[in-house]
This record gives sequence, C-alpha cells and structure tokens, in this order.
Amino acid sequence: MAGLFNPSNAELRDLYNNAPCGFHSLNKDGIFIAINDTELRWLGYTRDQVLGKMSFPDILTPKGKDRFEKSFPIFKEKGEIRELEHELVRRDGSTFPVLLSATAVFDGNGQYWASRSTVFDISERKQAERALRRAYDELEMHVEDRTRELKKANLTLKHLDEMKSGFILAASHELKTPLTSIKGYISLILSGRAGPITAPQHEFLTHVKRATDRLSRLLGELLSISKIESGQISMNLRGTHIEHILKEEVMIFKAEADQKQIDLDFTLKSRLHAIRCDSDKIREVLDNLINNALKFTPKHGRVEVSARRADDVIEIQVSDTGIGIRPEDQLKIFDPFHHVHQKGLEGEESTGLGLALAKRIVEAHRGKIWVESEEGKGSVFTVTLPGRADVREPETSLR
Amino acid sequence: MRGKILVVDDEWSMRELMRHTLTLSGFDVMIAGDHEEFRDYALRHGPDVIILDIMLGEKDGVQVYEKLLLEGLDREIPVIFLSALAQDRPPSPPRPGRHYALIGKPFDPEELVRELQSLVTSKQKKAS
Repeated sequence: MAGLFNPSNAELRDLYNNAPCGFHSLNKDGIFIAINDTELRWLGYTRDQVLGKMSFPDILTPKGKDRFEKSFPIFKEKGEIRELEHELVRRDGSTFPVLLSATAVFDGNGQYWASRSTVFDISERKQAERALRRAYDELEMHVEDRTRELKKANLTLKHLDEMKSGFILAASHELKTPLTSIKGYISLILSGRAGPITAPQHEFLTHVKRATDRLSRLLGELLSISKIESGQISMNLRGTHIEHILKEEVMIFKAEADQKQIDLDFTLKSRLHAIRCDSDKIREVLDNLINNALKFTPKHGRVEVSARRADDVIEIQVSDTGIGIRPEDQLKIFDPFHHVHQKGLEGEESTGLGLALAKRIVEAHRGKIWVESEEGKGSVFTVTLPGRADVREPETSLR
Repeated sequence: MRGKILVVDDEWSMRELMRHTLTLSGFDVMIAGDHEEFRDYALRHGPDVIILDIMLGEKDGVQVYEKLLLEGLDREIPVIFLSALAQDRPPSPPRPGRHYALIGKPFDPEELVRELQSLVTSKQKKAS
C-alpha cells in the first residue's frame, strides 16, 4: 500500500468515486467523459449509460438547458465557473438543486479539452431556506396582525384617555360647584350674616365646615394627581428665586407654629441661584411638608426649613423633631392614601394624598423627594430641584 | 354707598349663593344667568364690579367679556373671574380691563366679600 502522501491509483480512484460531492468532466461538446459514483448515485444512472452517451444538458431542466447553451461557450473560453446553481434531473424525472463549480483543461494549443467539475447537492440547504422563508413569512404575518391589534389598542387607549380628560374636566366642574354652595352657605351662617345661631349650631356647623374643607382639599389633590399622571397639567416654569418662596412659606406658617409652641425657622445654607420652576406648585409641596412637620411635632419641638446649592441642584430640606416614621412606612409614604398616622398630634385630619401629590410635582420638575426618619426622633424630607445658573426673569411677586 | 355687583353664572345654585352672600353683606346685586343677560345688565346698569364664571354654559365667559369691551363696556369695571379649573391656570388668561382677579371654586365667600369691599371702596374713593 502507498504512503499517506503518496496515494496509489486505487486509493485516488476511491477518493474520486466516494467523495461527498459529485465530480464529472465534459468534452468540448458537453458530453460526459468522466463521472464519479457519488454523482451517478444522485442521478440514478450507471456509468455505462452516461459516459460518451449523455451530455450535461441531458440532465438539465429546459430552463437549465437554455442557460447551458449560453454559458458553456463562455466557459470554454474563460475557463472557470464558480458556484453556479443548477437544477439537475434524475433518471426518474425528479429534480434536485446543486451548486456547480468547474475549471477548464486546455491542450497544448490553448484549446479547450475538458472540464473538471465539482457538484454539491444543496437540497438540504434549499429545504432549510424554504423553511426559513416560510417561517419568516409566517412571522411577518404575525407581526402585521399584532401591529394591527396594537394600533387598534392604541386608538382605544387614546379614546379612553380623551374620555378620562373629559371626565376630569367634567368632574372638576360638577363636583366643585355643589361644594362651593355647601361651603358658601355654611360660611354665611357661621359669619352671622344670616342671623344669630346658637352655640351648638355654631359648633356643629364648624364640624361641617372642617369636613367640607377636607373634601375640598381631597378633590383638589385628586384632580391634581389625575392631571399630572395624564400629562394634562401645565407647568408654568419661570425663573424663580426659591429662597423668597421658602421665606414666605415659613412666614405663613409662623403663626400656627407659635400657637403650637413649635420653633419654626428658615436657614439658607448657601447662596442660591435662580431656577426654573412653577412657583405655585412648589409652594404646594412646601405647604404640604411644613404642614406635616407641624402636625407631627409636639410642643417645644423644632421644624427647620433649609436650602442649599449642591452642584447643579437646589436642595431643600424640611426637618422636624417630631414623632418620626416607621421604616416600613417610609417606603410607602409617598403612595396615595397611605396614612402613616390617621390624625395629627392635635387631631388634624389628612387626605392621604398630600405627599403623593408633592412627589408628582417634584418629579414633574425632574427633581427628587425622599425622607429619612427615626421613630421618636424626627424626620427630614429632602427635595432636590434641578438648578440652572442662566435663568432670566426671576419672579419677584408675592402670593 | 352700597356697591352694585353684577354676578354672571349659568349655575342656579351659584347665582343663589352669591345673591344671598352679597345681599347679606350689604351689596346691591344683579344676577345674570347667560351671556345675553350679562350684556343687558353690564351695558345698561353700569355695575361697580362684575363677578363672572369662566365656563358660562357653552360660551367662554372670557370671550363674552372681551366682546362686551368692544361693544363699549367700561374697561374700568373690575372683574373677578370664577373658575373650577383655577388651581392651575385658566384655559385662556383673561386679558384684563383695569383690574381682574381669578378665584377658584370652591372659594371662601368671606374672601370674596373682602375683595369686593376693597374694590368698591377703592372705586368710590376715585370717584370722589
């Protein structure tokens, strides 16, 4: 037996015949002058049936024959074909796809003598391509269906959103009008303008007034939250010197703090530049935080409102020496209707929406709000607002 | 001298509340339920102050007011706009006459009365 790098003719013949691809050679007339066993097996012919008797066009489809007639003369001249797809016809008439590459052998005069052709059966590849195509088409159909469904759902959502906006508007008007009546008449009676009332009547009507005020606040906060969440709220952003607002807010609550014997102070920890904000809404946030601090701080306690510039943000803190908040409540304290304590230290009621609204307002300003607290020691609510030093038109009007 | 207040609101309950509150507070009150009555009272009876609901039924109260200004309504008459949406901003900010204020519903009647007293007193001082 010949060595590994010096195969015998038998070994070479074996390699040629049993290669995983087809080999054949065609003469100048396109007739088979050589063909390997693999290709014969694919075609279903014997060597005797093919060699010298059949030409390459004999195993092509009509379309393939046309192509061969045009391309064979060019091949004989140029000498090379690379990966040409053909459909070959078996003896039983069935077809299978192949990839054909060929080089030409020229004689001493430079004339075409024979081809050396390699044929690969790409049936499996074609099947896979067809399956992929089918899967792709199915996927495309699914995508189209889903897109149609999504568009429909989107339209429905848009419609619902418009209905919700309409509802908010209608609710706002329809609820506030009777509420105005109730508040108005109670106020009229309590003022004495409608005539004298007895002490019990005064007391009872005061309770009614308090409940109506609470209902008013609840309605206002609910509508504000709805509007913020549905993107309806318009932010009136203007250049604002926030320290003016902080000082004014502290002044507003001073009387109440004095009455409760709580120290209420404002500290400016560093110089602040003007920022863009909706000052009315920021006042709402501060009203809420200071009000809460006073509600839950006992007599002789302390509430401090402070502000400082920290890099590109303004940091506002409302800290108190009040009863504090349990850790499990600190996580939920900004959720709507989450009451940490049902009432303040002096029985003051809350809507449960104040901090939820404050959070939404702060976040609408692209700011942050959070709380740090220790039960029995007090709480610190921190609000950060993005600050810009290039803001024009600082607000100077007072509430 | 008692101030003359024109109240314009399409809601009967609001008109009644205003009538009672303002009458008991010592004002002379005219009540208009729609834009036509508003026009009639405003142009013929020269109120000292107008209290105007921004949502006047299907009409925009601000637009009705602006139209009346073009028809000769005295710009000097102060206007207090009432709005159920006043927690934010009114849909179209009222372009003022000489003075306007915006009060949101539900409002404190005492606050309204104080505002009216201040406006009427100021007007009377100017006139004398």
